[in-house]
Amino acid sequence: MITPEPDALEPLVRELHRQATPWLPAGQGTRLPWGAPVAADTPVVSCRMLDRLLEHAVGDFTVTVQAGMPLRDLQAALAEQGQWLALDWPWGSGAAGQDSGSIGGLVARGMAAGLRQRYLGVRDQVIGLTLLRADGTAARAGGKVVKNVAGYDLVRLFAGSWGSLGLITELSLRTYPLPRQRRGLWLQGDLAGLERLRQKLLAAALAPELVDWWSAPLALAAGQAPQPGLLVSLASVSAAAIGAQLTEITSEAEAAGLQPQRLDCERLEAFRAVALGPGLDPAKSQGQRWLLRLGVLPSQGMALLGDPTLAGVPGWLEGGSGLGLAWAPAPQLPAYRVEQLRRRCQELGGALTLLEQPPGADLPAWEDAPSRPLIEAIKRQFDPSQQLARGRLPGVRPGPIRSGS
Amino acid sequence: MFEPLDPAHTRAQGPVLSRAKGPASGPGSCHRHDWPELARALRQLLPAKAVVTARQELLAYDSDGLTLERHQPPLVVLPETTEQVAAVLRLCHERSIPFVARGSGTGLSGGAVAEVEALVIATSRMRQVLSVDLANQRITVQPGVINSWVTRSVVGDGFYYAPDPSSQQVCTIGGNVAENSGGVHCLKYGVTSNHVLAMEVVLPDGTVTTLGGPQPEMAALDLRGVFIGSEGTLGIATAITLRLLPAPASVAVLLADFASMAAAGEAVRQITGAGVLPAGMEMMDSPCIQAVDDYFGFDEYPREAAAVLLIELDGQEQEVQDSVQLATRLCLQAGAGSVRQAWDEPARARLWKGRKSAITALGRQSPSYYLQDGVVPRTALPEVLAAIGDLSLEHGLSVANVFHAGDGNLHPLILYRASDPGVQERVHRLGGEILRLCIAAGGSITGEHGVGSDKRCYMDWMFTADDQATMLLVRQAFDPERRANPGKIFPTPKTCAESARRAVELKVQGVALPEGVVAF
Ligand SMILES: Cc1cc2nc3c(=O)[nH]c(=O)nc-3n(C[C@H](O)[C@H](O)[C@H](O)COP(=O)(O)OP(=O)(O)OC[C@H]3O[C@@H](n4cnc5c(N)ncnc54)[C@H](O)[C@@H]3O)c2cc1C
Repeated sequence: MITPEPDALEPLVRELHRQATPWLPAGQGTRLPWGAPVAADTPVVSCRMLDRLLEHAVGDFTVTVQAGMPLRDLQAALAEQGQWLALDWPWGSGAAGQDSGSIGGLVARGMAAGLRQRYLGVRDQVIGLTLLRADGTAARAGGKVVKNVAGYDLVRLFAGSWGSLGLITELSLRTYPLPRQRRGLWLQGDLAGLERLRQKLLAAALAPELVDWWSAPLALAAGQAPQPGLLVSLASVSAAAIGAQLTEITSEAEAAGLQPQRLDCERLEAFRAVALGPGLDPAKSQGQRWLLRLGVLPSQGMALLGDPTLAGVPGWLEGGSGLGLAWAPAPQLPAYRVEQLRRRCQELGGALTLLEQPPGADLPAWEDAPSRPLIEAIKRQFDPSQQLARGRLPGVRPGPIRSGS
Repeated sequence: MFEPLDPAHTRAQGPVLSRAKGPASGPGSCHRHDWPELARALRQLLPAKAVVTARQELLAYDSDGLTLERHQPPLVVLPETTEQVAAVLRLCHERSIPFVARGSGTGLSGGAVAEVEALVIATSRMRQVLSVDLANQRITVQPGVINSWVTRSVVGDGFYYAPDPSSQQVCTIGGNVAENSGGVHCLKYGVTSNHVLAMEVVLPDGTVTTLGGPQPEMAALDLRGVFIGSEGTLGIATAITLRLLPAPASVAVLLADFASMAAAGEAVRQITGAGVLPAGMEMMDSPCIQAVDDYFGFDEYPREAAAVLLIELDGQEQEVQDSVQLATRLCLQAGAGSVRQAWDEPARARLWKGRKSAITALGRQSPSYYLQDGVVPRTALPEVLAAIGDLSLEHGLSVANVFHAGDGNLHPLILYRASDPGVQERVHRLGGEILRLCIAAGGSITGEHGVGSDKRCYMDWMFTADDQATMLLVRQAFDPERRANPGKIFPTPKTCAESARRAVELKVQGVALPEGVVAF
């Protein structure tokens, strides 16, 4: 991994371009193998030396940072001013955000989690960015204000681009005041009852922070009965308002035949830490493993959770969006079942993306998007010599893996 | 999700990369097309009544909500289906004909106007709700569907569509997508881009594709995100899937008046800082207040106030009650003269009425106005408003301000009399200087109305040549011949003397301009 000083970054990228050398844009480099594989010997260019907070406009609820800044440091700095980025720690982080990687990496992967229910996704939080194109050209998109429609929205193009279009070097994001009050609810019972409650929660004006389905094995990992459950987080301006919401949900839950468990902030955090999985090092979880990005229509979450292809696999699914994650040690989940699971997700109106897979499985990380030709046309414009993250273009089914350039 | 696509129409290959078919087919070229002949060809593809050629009828398409500039198009078509739009665009592609998509023509930046001779493709007959999926809280509509119809079609089931531009009774979802429109409630709920899941789009060469998908994140480059706000320059959206939200259980509106803009700004700061996220937060200055009071014939708002602040709070009942208490206390602490609260629908409508009538009221006082749209960081509002006041005196033109205080989106109205000699020039100059203030404060030249033709000459103030060249890479991929809404958003030497000068300056400095951006 090359970690140039800020001043050396642009000349380096220009030099790589001159030589048409393939390279992989990176932040802290914590989750580089996720997604479609790039050739094993591809040099990695990290922006980890770009780790400064440039401006926190406290009164404007915006922050501008260098992209290599660790997410954990950024959240800590914002918390000193009573604010936060309303984003989940990425999967694989520790409970306090250890190993959460850089803010730039989070945006480049573009994956949000449960908090999307209230605060929307990663791409909805970014208001501007600076990038280095493959040829070393630096460009800005968006701005530093929360509302802005001047020019094309390249911010969204780069959020979730997985390094395929350029290196993000700077980001402006919207911040939120830390919630004054936060409480959780953990609910278990029969699936139909949980589904009824999920529908109620989403159709009511409660604006929960998150409503996540949990699979039975994940519930077990949190010390609960090995049955599916729903984790709910509520935030509000006052204890009274939260109390009223808890009462409302509790009575709905009981009517649906569920046993609600109230969680204080600490216990809620403990639950959420379990959902972050066993950590980044696959070796620690019995060797090679699968990490699967699930996607179904929200109304099909229950169907997916009860599906035999997911039996025994810990995972969660956002109740509102139908997106989730599941993971399993390789020996526990044969590749054919992952293929079945992919078909199942497609039948349920979604898709399956492989973030990690055991070596030799050779399943495509993602399938072709309907707009594949257009995605390829964009790629040719931004990276005509195909230098960046070669082999990894979201929306284009990866071909057979080739090594070397 | 959408009607099944005819595979023959889906793109088999990436777009051609060569710049243009012929030397004269670029935007703004003087290339003459044989419009009567094209009309005949279009009648082969569309029902006869869908091809508009009569001068009288074409007049209706000569401007949008920005009436300073008028250009009557040579030909207008009114397709009803995706297939028809695709057929029309294929024909345009074969013949190198530029085109302009048009919704209701309420845009405020000249976006839907054909400045150069181009085929106008209006969506006024694409008004069907294609599907409603309440279990998944989404709805799919044709682009000509009026914004407020979306809510109307699901309100009975307790849902609504959040983005609510003031023009929502007339403007279309297609126009909203193209402009990434906002509204009073976008402070809490976000703008159009935060509410679109998927779109069916006809590309400038006539192929049909889908951008986005059933989940808010897809394992694909987010072309949906880049299409939204592209002002008709990347293709035509023909079906749009929108997210629906549950209607709030409780809504309250507060109205506070202040003796100074600074105090009102302080109230906004305190409220957001306290963790209260209002659905909307709108402010009006003294000229607006007086115009509204004059218009109503009684003092709806305290006439001597320097600012009034309207705050709408919504959500769960207890939450709204607590937020109302907190916000009321904070307004009073910041120096509010009085704070009125409204809970039931008629009382809330009454408090909003002044805000909603503000532009009409100002229109009563002044025969013409130019509505500017700029953004500043919220904390810079008092300072920027004071500077706008100074500019107004300097230029001898009245300016009234009514704006979205929560997100710093200013809407200064420059009031003028069109018959005054040379006044349009002065209005434009003042408008430009206001935008300079916004940029100097770290803001943007547009928060929701778009760049269109009105503001393209200010793009240089906000974005460098490299920034714009990078944006144009997207254009190159979608529309290599630049036939979709030609000449919009980006400055051209012909339209922007300043940009032309800039290009010369940059060349003199030895800055190499990227290929394909002859425009700068
Ligand atoms: C009184 C008034 C109040 C307003 N208030 C607000 C407000 O509060 N917030 C706000 O954001 N805006 C506001 N606007 C501006 C305007 O209403 C919005 O920009 C609206 O989205 C335009 O919709 P339209 O259907 O009229 O589009 P048009 O004006 O017809 O077109 C606008 C642009 O969209 C493109 N377009 C239209 N349909 C399509 C399509 N199907 N595919 C691709 N491109 C397309 C056109 O080419 C053009 O560039 C207001 C305007 C008026 C007159």
